[in-house]
Amino acid sequence: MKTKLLLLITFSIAAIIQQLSPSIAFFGNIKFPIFSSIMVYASFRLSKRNVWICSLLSAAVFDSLEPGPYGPSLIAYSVITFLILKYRNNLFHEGLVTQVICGGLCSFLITFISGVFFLITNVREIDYFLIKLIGSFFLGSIALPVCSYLLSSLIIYEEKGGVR
Amino acid sequence: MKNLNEKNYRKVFFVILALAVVLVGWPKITELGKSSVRSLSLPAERIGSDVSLQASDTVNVINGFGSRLKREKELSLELVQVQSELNRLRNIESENVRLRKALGFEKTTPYKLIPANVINRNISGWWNTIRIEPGANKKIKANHAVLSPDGLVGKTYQINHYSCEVLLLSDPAFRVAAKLKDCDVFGIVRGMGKTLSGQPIVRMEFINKNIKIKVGDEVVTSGFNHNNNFFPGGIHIGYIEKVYVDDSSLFQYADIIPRATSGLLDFLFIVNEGKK
Repeated sequence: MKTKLLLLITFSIAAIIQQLSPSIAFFGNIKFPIFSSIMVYASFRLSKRNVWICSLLSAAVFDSLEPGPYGPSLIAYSVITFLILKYRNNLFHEGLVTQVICGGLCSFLITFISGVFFLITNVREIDYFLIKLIGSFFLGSIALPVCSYLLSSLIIYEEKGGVR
Repeated sequence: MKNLNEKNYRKVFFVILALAVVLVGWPKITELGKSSVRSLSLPAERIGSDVSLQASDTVNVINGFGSRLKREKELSLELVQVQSELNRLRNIESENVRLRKALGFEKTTPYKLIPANVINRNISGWWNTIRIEPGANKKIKANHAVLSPDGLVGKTYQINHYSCEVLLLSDPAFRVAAKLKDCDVFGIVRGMGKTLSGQPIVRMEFINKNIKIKVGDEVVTSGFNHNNNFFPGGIHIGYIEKVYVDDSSLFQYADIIPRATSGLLDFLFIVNEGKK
């Protein structure tokens, strides 16, 4: 219960900070992926069932705060969760290099899947897609280590069934 | 029981996903889901917005200690100018009403301005939107103009009970009927996103190719509304920056520098039907 409450508070704060933060024009107006970094952080530490619950709920919240239809984050977060659960036992998730690469790749995947979703459904006109992808990788590779450092020193939620 | 749940989590997940796929295609469910999450997150967003405003006010106070008197004088002068302009416009309006009555024209729809606070911005950066308070609780409707003292900012887009999304002028989904202020040259203004330096790009399209447009001409809303849009005529949009001829050579189009920018907005007005 304590873990779930902490996660709820963490995600709420992350959502507000990410919304209030300015978009980075140089990287095609994307934002620092704080919300998804916390999801990745949690995915490495929680039990499988809780990872899926956390992933689906956070994706639903993220899509709810967007003006577009439900879908981009639900798909992207599910793909990331699936990949993390598949490989997390082989990764040293406390290592800086792992966090940099995982953070970058996850953020890249979210932008890529969202972009493809918008292209297929014709919801948005996509501009600077390549720059957005590069920017996402760069910002994600910074955001995950920073979020991991802050969360590890503030709260520790490693569960039975999660990676130790 | 726990082990059973652990084993069956995939099945449960796929059932939830299948349900989600079926339900999210239903607009009512999407609307309900978004409205619920936004209403739940509103108190936290309000706190975040207040903290952010307080911080920027503190920085402004620290920066402005030396120039406060000068600023006060400037504001007094501006107030006098605005009041005289308001009196002049009131005279013109009453004259306009008399003339319309004499000519038998229909009365123009009256509108009022509802003040709104910016409580948040878009979460991902894919959309050029902001979230403002109030929403349906103050009878705000979708597709109504949103203004700042500098001019048109955007339009109301998705209405929740206590808040609403504003689609900004620079968003590619934004369209409004417009004209040049000094001559009756009409066109459609649409958002084109932002440049890599963060400048909003706005374009006026479908302009008659036989009319000469000058750089610096003022663009305002024309007052022609469709699809339940509510944009009164004469709202300032921006100034012409560059003029081009369309590929088809049938029309010309022009880039506009919008005056009202969304970067540091904290207080806006929603145009709504009703008496002033």
